[in-house]
Amino acid sequence: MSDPKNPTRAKDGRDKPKESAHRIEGGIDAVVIGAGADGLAAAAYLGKGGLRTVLVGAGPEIGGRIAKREIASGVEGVDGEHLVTALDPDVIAELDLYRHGLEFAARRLDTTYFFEGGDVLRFDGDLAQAALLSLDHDDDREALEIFMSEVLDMAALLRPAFRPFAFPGGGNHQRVLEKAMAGATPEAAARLRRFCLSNADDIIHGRFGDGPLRALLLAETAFRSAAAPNEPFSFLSLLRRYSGEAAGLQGAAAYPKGGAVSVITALRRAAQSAKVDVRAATPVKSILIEGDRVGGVTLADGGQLRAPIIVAAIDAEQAYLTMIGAGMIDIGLERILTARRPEIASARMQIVLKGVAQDDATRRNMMRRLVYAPSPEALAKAFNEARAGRVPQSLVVEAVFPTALDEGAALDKRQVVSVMAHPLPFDAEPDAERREAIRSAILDNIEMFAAGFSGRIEADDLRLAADEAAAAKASPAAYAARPDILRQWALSSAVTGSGDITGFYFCGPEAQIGAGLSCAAGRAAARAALHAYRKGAA
Amino acid sequence: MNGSFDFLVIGDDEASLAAAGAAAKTGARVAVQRPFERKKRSPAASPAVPNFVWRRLDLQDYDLTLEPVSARVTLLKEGGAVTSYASARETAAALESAESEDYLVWRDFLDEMAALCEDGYLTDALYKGEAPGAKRFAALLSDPLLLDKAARLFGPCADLLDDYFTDPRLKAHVAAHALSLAGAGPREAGSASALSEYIEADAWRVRTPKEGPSLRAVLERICQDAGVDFTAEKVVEIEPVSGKHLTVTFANDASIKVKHVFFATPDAAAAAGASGPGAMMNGLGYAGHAVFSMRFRLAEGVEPPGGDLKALYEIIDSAEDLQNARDAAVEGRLYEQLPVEFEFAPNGELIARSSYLPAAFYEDGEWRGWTGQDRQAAAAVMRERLSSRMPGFASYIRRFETEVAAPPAGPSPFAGCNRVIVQPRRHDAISAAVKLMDRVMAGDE
Repeated sequence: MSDPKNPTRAKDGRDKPKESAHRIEGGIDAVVIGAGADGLAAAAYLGKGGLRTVLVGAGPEIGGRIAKREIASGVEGVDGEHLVTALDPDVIAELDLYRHGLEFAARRLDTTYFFEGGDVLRFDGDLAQAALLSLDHDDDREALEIFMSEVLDMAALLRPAFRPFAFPGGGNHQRVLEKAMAGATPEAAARLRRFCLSNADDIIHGRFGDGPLRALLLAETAFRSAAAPNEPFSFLSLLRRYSGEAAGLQGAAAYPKGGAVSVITALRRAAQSAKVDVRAATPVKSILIEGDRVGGVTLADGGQLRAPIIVAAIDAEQAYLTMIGAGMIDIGLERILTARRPEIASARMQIVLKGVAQDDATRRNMMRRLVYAPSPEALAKAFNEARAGRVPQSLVVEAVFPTALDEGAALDKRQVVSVMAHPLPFDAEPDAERREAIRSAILDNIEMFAAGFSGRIEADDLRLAADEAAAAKASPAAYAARPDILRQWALSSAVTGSGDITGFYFCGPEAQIGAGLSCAAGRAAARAALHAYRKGAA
Repeated sequence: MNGSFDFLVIGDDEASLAAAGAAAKTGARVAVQRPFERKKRSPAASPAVPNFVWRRLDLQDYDLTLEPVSARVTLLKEGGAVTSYASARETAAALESAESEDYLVWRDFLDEMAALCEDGYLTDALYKGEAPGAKRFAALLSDPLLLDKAARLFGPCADLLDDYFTDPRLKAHVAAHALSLAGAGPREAGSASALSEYIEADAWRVRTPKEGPSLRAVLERICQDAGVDFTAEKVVEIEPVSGKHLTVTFANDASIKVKHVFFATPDAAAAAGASGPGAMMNGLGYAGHAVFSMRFRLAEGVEPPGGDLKALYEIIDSAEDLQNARDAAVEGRLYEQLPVEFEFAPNGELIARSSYLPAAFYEDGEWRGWTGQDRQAAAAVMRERLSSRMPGFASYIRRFETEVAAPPAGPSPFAGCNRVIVQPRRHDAISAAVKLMDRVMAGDE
């Protein structure tokens, strides 16, 4: 466990290597800043493309916010993500992640939804498959099947638009989009207009009335988004979720063997096999700009890495305002970065449970994705509360049991439940009181569908956006929930496209559209860089 | 009434009548259904009539005089009124004399708001119902400048105001006037679009002077001259006949065949039960709310603060009130510091309204419709708000009436009909309704 007071110190107490001080290192084609998933993916692509690539991470560990950590005595948890829903399938294929050790313990998790009134809906697979096991009304089942097939079609149509796109020289994205959309029938185009502009509740209420399916779909739409489901453009959040792919299945939620950290491990292996020089605990102080192009980076210890390509896989505030400097960037981009005021965030909680029955039935029940969907009224109120800076009473809760899903993680007589809760107020510096309020709100909500749960808690570990940011040495705002997709498009396009510095590519968290572990930004940035490099060489 | 029509326009406010008249004058067959109970009353201020509508309807042939509302005034809790005028110069001067440091940027603000709307991709999709073609959608996503504009235009109103102004009183003033129409909250996504719209000249409201016919009366005559059919029968059922027609059945068993059912305002649609599935709602979908209005017949001697009887007034305590009231409406409760808009009609009546009321009330885990008690409670809040800015107001009240425009509960007669067109709530409602009608007609050809 790293020392929280001094996170730059390595695990074993070693200090940072000093020999690079004031040394200027050349012979490098590309420097990737940031050792999170996108940084690793970008570096692997660059290395594979034949560029001599150095990846520098500020922290002692590789992986950014996704990392293993002891959450209770003798129990390891994984920070960051607990499921994979949107890992770019092209990244898996092109970087050969399966060969580098990525393996899924569960490819399409079955989902159980719990509702306020005590209703339960169980899905064999998930919504995308819409194989509903328990629902009284056949009409609703049919409506859901039709609805989900429309959502999946529309999501597939929009898939290119949900990848970061504005990279300089990154191929003609406009043509790709045009081509993708040109296949749409006029009915689909009209539906798309409605789906783009409308709020999710209008669409969902119209289809499903007031039943549990409405609560369920609103919860899925609102989950991890800062856009309340009664706000315009919110339906796009659901389309974004189902445009994603996990383990080769559209819209699925998958659990990787070893947790999300094994995606990092596979990416790291891919990078290493592409001969990327991976250096942890090497913080960058500034990015050197020479004329209108990058010259390299200056390290915190005074050393320099000279390279014609810099890929920044860190948050935009650090990259543009700290490392490049506000004076060097477009005033519009500066405005966008400084005017951000996130209001909403998700929270992660890992809980160690004792005295859980060990029989097969219990185990089978734990090998699912559990979602608590508050009533639409409670959800609307929760967004209002969180936005006003208060901890809401009702939350959407997503829970999985890593110790049941993954045999390798099984514990003796104990289980770990990993929980993601949303929406919560975003704090850059949460105090102890706020933490306790969030902790008890999450536990209260779990108690709503798992009565008696609190009595079995042996230990719990709450992780807020600010904690993730501290671990990844990022600005907290980068890990807040994202606003509606229209504003995400604008932000992504601004941070990836308008830097206007030759040789600089950005694929930090702001570049990504939607939540989850994706790597699409890292891939797109590296491809744009390679494209420009080859054009320059030729 | 029998036969077949191109449009059934539901509602007889100025925007509905202007759209019906404009369509009939180009040869379309149009029927107008007016609300089945209509009281004779003095008109509230209406959106201005843009030049192109004036010409289309040959309004010069009718004896019509209109005068613009003199000013937009916001009565905050402390520190007196904030006022803006149709003229940018006058507004800047007023801001300067009120010692607002933002007087210098007022004109820039107006110019940039107008520029924000120029690239009409999203505004077209929103208000004219244009589907995003592959080319335009791709072009939007491929142009960072255009996307940034779109994100600003359809982001929260508060963010956009923060970009320009530092004076919290001015921000509250602009937000109150821009958002009061739709009952939106300044922190809500999409609310900024109301800003760029409300500064347009066509959004500046006009009043009918005491002498002379009202705009509504003139528009009704134009419709009649152009051969528009009127009915006051209630619509009981709408059924699609083929892909191209609907059969509309009225309460008196008459039925007509129409190509489109047209709502010039979402209030008319809500009152008819057409909001919800099937209706081709243009614009941003916001969660429902009710519009509550009151008319006061007053004893002589009531004056608004400042004494201008021809201005449009907003009462809010601060900009936060707007978001809090919006949150309350979404959650189904009545907000005590209700934002209230009011004006004096030509005959001296005071007309007050608020769009920040819940469409239905949420109590003990159940939704319920408006009751007489809710009306009384809302009326009490509104009287309280008016008294807070006009001391002694209650003692001047001789008579008052209340009206709630909330979407009715129960199944909509319009469910499942995809030829029902609803225009969202617009500041320039007349211009927008006529343009949308034109687009629908062009699409039919």
